[in-house]
This record gives sequence, structure tokens and C-alpha cells, in this order.
Amino acid sequence: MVFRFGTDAHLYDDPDDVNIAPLLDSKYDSEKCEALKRLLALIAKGLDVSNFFPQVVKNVASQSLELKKLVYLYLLHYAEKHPNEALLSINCFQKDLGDPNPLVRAWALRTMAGIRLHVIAPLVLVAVNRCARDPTVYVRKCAANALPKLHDLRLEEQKSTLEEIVGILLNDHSPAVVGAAAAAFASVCPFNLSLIRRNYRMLCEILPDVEEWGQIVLIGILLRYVIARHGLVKESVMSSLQCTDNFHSEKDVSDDDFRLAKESNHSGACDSEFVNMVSRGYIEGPDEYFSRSSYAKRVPFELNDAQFTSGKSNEDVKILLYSTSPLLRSKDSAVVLAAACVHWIMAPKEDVKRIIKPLLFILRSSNVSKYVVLCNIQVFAKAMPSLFAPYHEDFFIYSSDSYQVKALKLEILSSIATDSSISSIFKEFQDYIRDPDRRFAAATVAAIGICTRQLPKMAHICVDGLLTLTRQELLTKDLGSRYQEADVLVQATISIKSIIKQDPPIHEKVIVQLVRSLDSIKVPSVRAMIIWMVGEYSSLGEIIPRMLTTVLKYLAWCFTSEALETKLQILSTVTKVLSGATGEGLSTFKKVFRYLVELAECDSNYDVRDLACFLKELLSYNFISQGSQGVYSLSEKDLHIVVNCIFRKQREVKTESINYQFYLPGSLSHMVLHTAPGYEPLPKPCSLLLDDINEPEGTRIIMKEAADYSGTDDHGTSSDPSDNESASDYGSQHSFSGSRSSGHGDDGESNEGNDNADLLLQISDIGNAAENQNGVFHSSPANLGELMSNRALESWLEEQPGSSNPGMLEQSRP
Amino acid sequence: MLQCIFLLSDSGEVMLEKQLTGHRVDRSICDWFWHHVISQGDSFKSQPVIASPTHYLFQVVREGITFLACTQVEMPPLMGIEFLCRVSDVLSDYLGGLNEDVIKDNFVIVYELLDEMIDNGFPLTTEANILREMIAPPNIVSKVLSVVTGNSSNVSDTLPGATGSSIPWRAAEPKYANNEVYVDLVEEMDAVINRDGALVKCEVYGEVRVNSHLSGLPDLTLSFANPSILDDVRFHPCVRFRPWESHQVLSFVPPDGEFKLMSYRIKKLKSTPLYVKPQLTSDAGKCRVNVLVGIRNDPGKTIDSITLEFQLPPCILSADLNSNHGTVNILGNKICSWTIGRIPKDKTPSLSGTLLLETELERLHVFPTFRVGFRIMGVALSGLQIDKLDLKTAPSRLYKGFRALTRAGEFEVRS
Repeated sequence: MVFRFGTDAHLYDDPDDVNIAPLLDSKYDSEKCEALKRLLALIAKGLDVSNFFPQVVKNVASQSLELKKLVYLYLLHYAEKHPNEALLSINCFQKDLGDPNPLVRAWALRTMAGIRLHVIAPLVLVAVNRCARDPTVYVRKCAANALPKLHDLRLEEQKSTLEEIVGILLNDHSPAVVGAAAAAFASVCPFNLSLIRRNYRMLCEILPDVEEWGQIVLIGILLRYVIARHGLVKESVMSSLQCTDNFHSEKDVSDDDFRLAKESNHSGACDSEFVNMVSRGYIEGPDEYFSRSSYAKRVPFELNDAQFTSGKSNEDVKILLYSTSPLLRSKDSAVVLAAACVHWIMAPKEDVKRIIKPLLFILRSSNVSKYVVLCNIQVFAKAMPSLFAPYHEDFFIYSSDSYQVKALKLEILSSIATDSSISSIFKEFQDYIRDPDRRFAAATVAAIGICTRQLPKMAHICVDGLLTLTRQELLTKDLGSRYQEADVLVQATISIKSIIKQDPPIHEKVIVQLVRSLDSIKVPSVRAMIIWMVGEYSSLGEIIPRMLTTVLKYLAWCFTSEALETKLQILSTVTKVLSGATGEGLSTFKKVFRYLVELAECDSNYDVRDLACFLKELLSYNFISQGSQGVYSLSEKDLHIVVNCIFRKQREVKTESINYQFYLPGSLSHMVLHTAPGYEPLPKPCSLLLDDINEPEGTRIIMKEAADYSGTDDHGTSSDPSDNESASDYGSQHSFSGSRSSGHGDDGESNEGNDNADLLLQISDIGNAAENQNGVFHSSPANLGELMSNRALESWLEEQPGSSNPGMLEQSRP
Repeated sequence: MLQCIFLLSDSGEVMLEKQLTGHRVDRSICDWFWHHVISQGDSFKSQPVIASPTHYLFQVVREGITFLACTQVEMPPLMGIEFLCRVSDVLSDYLGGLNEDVIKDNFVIVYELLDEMIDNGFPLTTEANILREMIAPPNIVSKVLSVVTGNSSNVSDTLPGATGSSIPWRAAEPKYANNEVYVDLVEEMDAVINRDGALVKCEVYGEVRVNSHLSGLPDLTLSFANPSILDDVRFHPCVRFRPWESHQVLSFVPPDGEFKLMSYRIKKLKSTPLYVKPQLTSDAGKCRVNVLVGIRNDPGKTIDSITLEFQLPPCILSADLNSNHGTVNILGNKICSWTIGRIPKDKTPSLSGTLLLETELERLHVFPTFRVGFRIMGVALSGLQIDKLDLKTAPSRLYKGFRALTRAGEFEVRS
């Protein structure tokens, strides 16, 4: 209690133990302060104390700065609820704006703009205009901050004035003002890149001196400007978007420069496809992505040579890279990531490596940004594994890492593994497998499988290791479910399965060993997988065919005690073996088959019964009743084909081309894997024409939109448009999560492999498509959040998820 | 941009809310958040970015206090996270630490600070030096004064000069009778020793901390004797970029008081000062543990505060562990911690005992990782050395001081 003396503790604990109203009317500033502190405490606790508004507003005229500050805090919290009373304060603000003390001027402006009333908007605009020319830097900075507040009110007629003020402030000589002006630009007129054109060089020069928060925004704006003005850089990662004819030759040329790429041969074809996907994702808006994935054969997205510039000769590009490179050493991880993003997209491939060390540095130095940075590195590392390959040690896992971080590191490690680093990576993996965190151990085992897919040379060693692991896990078989040991075993078997698939003949013995251990493995899904391998590779090599009779007898013997999954797999496997069998074993197989079908027909599970009936019918004429020739009888050869078609179709499945939507590095959408409202892809290369100064595309959209808003405002004066907007945001999110679950119901089976994220993407894209249909969505790169006007949203909500939605989902899946 | 900031106590109580824009965020989002924290536990708390049904949330947890920021639109997630970190740094600096009570007791200051730090969802003034001049931190004198006089204004009447300066980190020209500047090298050693006892990686993450009390507008240069060993560096904004690029010299106008001038990494070190040798042998439902700790490479100064910590695997029923030096504690969450302190001259500290496994288990199949802690005063283990510190137009009396300290960072020994 001693330590709390002299603080405001008593005010927080019992804010209303005295009558607040008389205190507010007191003639002493100290009593008024106390009253306001009590009100603030009530606000902090989440209570509504707006009924004191009239009394509080009177105190705005006070000369005490502390009292002023407290009044402002209260006023901003409640102004929207009491617009009429708030108007009473305007005169005081007007007076304060002329105060000789810059702090008073700045506060008055901040509060006046912050109370967000349409009626006073013109007054605020005049004030902002005046403050934008104030001699004090801090006041000008506050003027820049006031612009987005005004823009939030959607005043169509003042749009151009706002943009003009943004232009003035961007031209300011103080870095502090420029930073705030950049933020204002990003929210008021992000498409009016001609404003940037005037000051481009100056902005680049001032960039290192701007405050960190302003830097983050300004870097993004400059990047967009350069792309819209000059196009992409020929030598950069984005070059894969150049027309396909040129593409190959281009690649050869760049390979010569880029010795790192040559070192790792495994990062060949699939790699450039991935790069193409990624860079395409940066430029494409969600609507384009959607239309592309729904009509697979539409005109491919390609850019012609004119939309590329040379990073070596273009001055603007060079300046941008030059001025952002010191920022890679910033102490703020957000600045580092933003600067890294510019270099990733714009720098010639051989210079991209400059971003590696800074990114790895922030992994160590700021713990909180670790996860976000890793998410971004993951994409970089997949697109250009050679970049991070020499730094694999940085991704080794500490026991203090959270599970999400561990999983990301594993994924990165398995995509950057090379022939030279794989041995040390595997050594690490072996340690991880013995980690007490079994979920992590299982993820490690899965990562081993992925590594081997990329480096087939390692297959033998891996399989041996995995086999030992399965045997070891058997020791703990009884505890399986309790300690998630089962997960490790399942992942190990999946990995072994995928390794065998690559080259079955050389792994024959592995299959034999697995089959031998079948009796001691108790996890149903693992048993099912091994039994599947028996059927799949029944004719492989010499040992397996000889084992078949014993194995099938064993399966028949333990059939009744199996789990559902395993029972189904036993039936299929026996059928497969039977269809491919010739000669000596045939009669045994038939006996086993008949025995199994009889058992299965009486099974308690209908799936098993159905499958048994089906198989019985299918094979009856050939195997069960040998004599009579029925109408549906099939020759053995035909039967073989039929069985193959039914059970071995997996072989035909091609690995589908990667078809995710990629978001710009460092963006929120990239973290949550769906298009967040307000996400903007990069502008179309060279879309900013030199004579396109008067009215760029973006302005028109926003003007139109602002018109929409003022329209709604006419009906109900009390309903604030900004409220409307937040409501629509809310609605969109809601229905979006709703349709997510309905989507799941629709396509549970067909889409098992697809992760949730993919689904999220498609659904969020549908929103756009629906908007397209409604004709509200006029042009591609427009602010999604702002474009969600009420009308579009409502009609979209009505359609969801009934009529249009399932159709859309189907369309989007090739 | 950010729409709202909430401060939550470690029991999930909303201590404070600050609405930042006209798009009001209802408190119910905190209920949603806390509900998930309870149902998903730590894995939810370690997610910095969360997509809730209505908002995107950024969270930073410091000393049990959760700083939660909400937005509905696209913005750089790291900007939200870094800002929350800055808020927590400033608050902890103002209030002398962070906990539930201290925030509630000083809620007015917290509100005033938040209002100054962020405007309409975009950071406004985050420089600690300027904030200190605008809003006075609570101290004993002001507390006494407020009790005696009843007047407790902590809001400054004038705008700090640095807001308009091109070096916003430096407050208006201070005057000191004694001009002093101290430079500390604080290093953390990260090391991983794998199950075979091999050193997988060993590197140092270090910071150069400066405490400067210099009158006027001092211009300092700091150089290292061996800058080539630095693998990568990051700077305080006051460091000029070009001199570093050309000569590896730090040239800067320092903020007043204590600050972090630069941080660096030095990789691929060859050895660690300590060795830790764990041995676990298990059979017949038991596991014998034996851990030896000793000095491998004498750094020339005393190694103290040596600790060893490991998580017992979940399949262990009970543990009986003893040491010949220091104390062993097994905490409630099955974390075993062994406090060694300094290594005695006459013996090698060792921890030994048996772990009893669950009944069905014959042998242990998962093995714990040992986390090592230590501290060495007076030595920078990376070997980085400061060459000299110069002050342009040096005042007549200038005290310069250098110190170094190394402690364990992520120092792990696997068994």
C-alpha cells in the first residue's frame, strides 16, 4: 500500500465512491482533474459514462494543459454519441488553433479532427490546411495525421483539397512530416502515384531519416510507384513473368550470372514454376486469381518486354535500392522486412542475397517477430532455395521455440536442404525425433520424407533410419495413443511409403521388413498402409510373391479384430492380389477371399458390408461359382483392368501444379492466408502513364465510392458512414467464416488433401466474384474494404451460401 | 491501421481500452480472445497474429500483461507488433516494471502516453526521450508533491524541442558538470551441443549499450580493434551509415542517457566456456541420470550464476535427483532446475539420481534437452574489442568507461 501512495490507485479501484458531477463543476482545476480521472477509470473498465458529456465539454476552455488533455481523452471517446454537445467545443478549438503554444495548436487540431462530425468537416479542413503550413514541425505532423481522419468521413467534394494537402506535406523538408504524410497518402489517395512522381528523388533521399513507422509505409509507396512508372526489373525474381518464349533464354542467361543457382541442381524446374506462381501472385488481385483458377485455359497472365526495365540502367530503380539498403540494418524488424521486400522484388537476382543476413538477424534479435519473419522467409526459401541453403544452421531448432516456429523451421530446412548440407540436417533431425514433444517429433519424421523426395540419393539412408524408428516405436506400442507415439509411427510409415513409391524395385526388402513387423504394429492406420503396400507391390521382385499366401492367411485370421480402416484395406488388397494372381497361389487366394467376404458381409459396419457385397458381385462369376457363365461375366483380363481401375487409380494422379494465391511479403494477408480487406497487389507494371496526371484510375473509383457513401448518408443523418463501413467489414468477415464451414461440408471427401488455407482463399475470392457480378467492382486494383459497399454486400449475403456458392466452388476447382 | 488497444491482466481481465479510430471495437473481442487462450493454452499465446471472426489481432505478452491490438484492414503485421513492443518498453520504463497493479495505479499516465504515442491508429511520438519531456514519469518527488499540494500535473506545458529536430532521439541540449560516457558490451552466447556431444553451432549475439551524459551536442566515434569478425550488425537510428560502410567506424550523436547503440552477431565460434555432459541410461522401468558440469575453456574471469534446467519427459512418474554442489529443485510443471552458482575448485559439480518411468514403459525413448545459464563479468566471449572512443570537441573533463559481460543465450545440450 505504501508504494501506491501518491498514485491514482484509489481512483481506479473506486472511481465512483464520490459524486462526480459536482466535482466537474468545481472552480478548482485539481478537482476537475480528479473527476475526469474518475471518468477515465470508468471508461477503462468498460462502463458507459457518456451522460457526463455536457459537463465535461464545458471544461474544454480550461487553461490547464493537464485538464485539457484529460478532457480531450474523454471527448474523443464519446464525441460520436453526442454530436450536438460536441459542437459546443468547436469555438474553443478554433481559438486554440491560434494559440502561440504549438502544443496547444497541435492538440486542438488532433482532437477537432478526431471527433469526426460531418457538420464541422469544412472547418477542420480549413484548420488542417492552415496547420499544414505551420512553422512548427510537430503541428505539421499532426496535420498530416488529421488527413486520414477527414478522409474517413468520405467527403467527396473535398477530395481534391485533401490530395493537395498531402502533396504539400510530402514535399516538406522535415523527415518527421514526410513520414506522417506518407501514411496519409496511403490512406487518402494510394493510387494517385503522380503525386509521388513530383517528389520521387527527394523522398528517396529523405527515406533513411524518416521515423521508422513512416519508413515502413513510404517504402511500400515508393515500390509501387517505381513499378507503375517503370515496370518490373528484367534481372529480378519477377522476370519469370516475361513471355514464355523469351523466358527460357532469359533463364539461361541469368543462370550464368547467378552462380548460386547453378550450385544446387535440384532446384530446377519445379522451382521456376514456383517463382512464377509467387511473382504472379504479387501482381494479381484476388479477382484475377479467381478467374484464372476457375477457367484453367484462359489467357495466361504474361507481361511483354515493354513492361520490364533494366535494373542496371534505370536510375529510379537504382536510387530506390540504394536508399533502402541502409534500412536493412534498422533496429525495427518491420522496416527490415519492408526493405527486404523491395530488394526481393526489384533487385537483380545476384543482389537479392543482401537480404538474407538481415532477415536471419531479426530471427535472433526480436523474439516476437520471429514467427512473422519465418513465414516470409518460407516463401523466399521455396522460391530460391539456394539463397538460404548456406545458412541452414540458422534454422536449427531450439527447445524454447514454440511449436509453430518449430514447424516452420522444419519446412524451411526441408526445402533448402542440399547434397552438402543434408548430412548435418539429418543429424539434427535424429536429435529432434527423440524430443519429448512428440507432435514435433512427428513433424520431423514428415520432413525427412520431404527431404528425400528432393534428394533421392538419400533415400537408402532415410529408409533405414525410418525403419529403425518404426521398430523402436514398437517398444512403446501400448502407450501409443497416450503419448502421441502413434503420430510418429504414422508419419514414419507415410514417409517410407512415399520413398518407396519413387523407386519400388530397390526398396523391395523394406516392404518385406514392414510386412514382417505387421503383427507387432497396433496402430490401425499404419497397419492399413502396410497392407496397402502388400496389394500395391504384390508382384514386385521375388520375395513378396512368395510371402503372399502366408500374409493373406494372416490377414484373414485377424480380420475380425481389426479397425474399420484396416478391414476395408484388407478387402481391397485381397482383391488386388487375387486379380493379379496366376498359378499356384490362386486357389488359396480364392479361399481366403471367400472366407473374408463371408466374414465381412456380417460385419457390424455398413461400409465393410457394402464393399464386401460389391466385391462379391464383381468377382463372383470368375472366382466364386466357377461353372455357369453369367451375362455380366468378365474375362480374366478384363477383370484385371477393372480392378486396376478401381484400386490403382492413384498412380495416374499427377502432382498438381501449385495453385495458391501468394501475397506480398510482409503483408497481413500473407500471414492469415486470405485477402484481408484493403489488401492491394502491386500495381500493373507501367500503368502510370506520363500524361495520366489529372485523373488516375484509382481516384475515379474512390470518387464513385464516396458518392455511394454520401448517398446512404442522406437517408439517415444519425447513422454515421464510418459506422456503416465498420459494420460492413464485420459482416463480410462473418459470412466469410460461415461459408467456410458450409464449404467444408460440401467437399469433405474430394478435397481432403487441400489444406484449410486453400479453402479460405477460394471463399474469400468468391466474395469478389459476386461483387463483379453485381457490377460494383469496376476496376481491378481497388480497395477491397472500401469497395464493400452496403449494396454489394447485402446482395452477396443473400446469395450466400445457397445458390451461387456451391457452383462457384466447383468452378474454382479444375 | 490499428483500431483499438487493450491491456489484459494475466487473469484475462481487461484493464484498459483505448479506442483509436472511429471504428469502435467492442470489448467482446477480448472475451473471444481469452476463451481461446484458455482452451488452447500456450500455443495460442505464442501466435503473434490471429484472425478472429471479426478482427485481426496482434498480441505481445510481457511480464504476464497481454497487449492486444485490433485491426480490420490490411497493414504490415510487424508494424503492429513492433509498436506494441514499443508501448510495453515505454510503460515498463515509466512505471519501473510491468504488472497488473502498477498499470492500474497509473492508468492516467498510461492513457496519456498511449494518446501521445498513437494518433488515429498510426504511431505519432514513440521516442522515449521526447515522451519523457511531454509527460513526466511518476517519481517520489512528484508523488510527495501531489499529496502535499494536491496538484499533480505531469503534463508538460511546452512542446519538446526535439520533435522538430533532425535528431529526434536527442532531447534539447542538456548540461552536465561531469561529462561521462560508458560503453558496455553485452553478449549472449547461443550454442547447441547434440546427442553425440558435438558442438553443432556456437555464436554470439551481442549489443553495444551506451550510457551517455554529455553536455551540448556531442559527436562521437567508436571503433573496434577487430571489426572483421562481425558477421552482421544493426544500428540505432543515430548511427551514420556511410562511415560504417567505408571504415567500419561508428559515428553518431548519442541520445541522452542509456540506449542500445548497435547489435551484432558473430558466428562460427569454436568453443564454449563450459562443458555439460549428460548421461542417461535406462532399463527395467528406470532411468539413471548423471550430469557433469565443468570448465572447458577458462575465460580468465569467474563464471557465475551457473544454472541447468530441463523438462522431465511426460512419461516420468517420479524423480529422485541429488547433486554434490548447489541445489536441485523439481518444479510443479516437471521442470527440474539445478542451481550451481560458481564451480568449486576441489570438485566437479555433478547431478545424479534415478527417474522412475510409468509402469508399462521398459525404457525411456525420449530425452530431455538441458538449458544452461551462466554469466561472466568482464569478458566478451566473442573476442570483440573496442579500440577507442573519440569525442569531437572534447570538453575539459570527460570520463570514459568500458565494460563487458557475457551470459548464456540459447545454450542447449541435448541428451
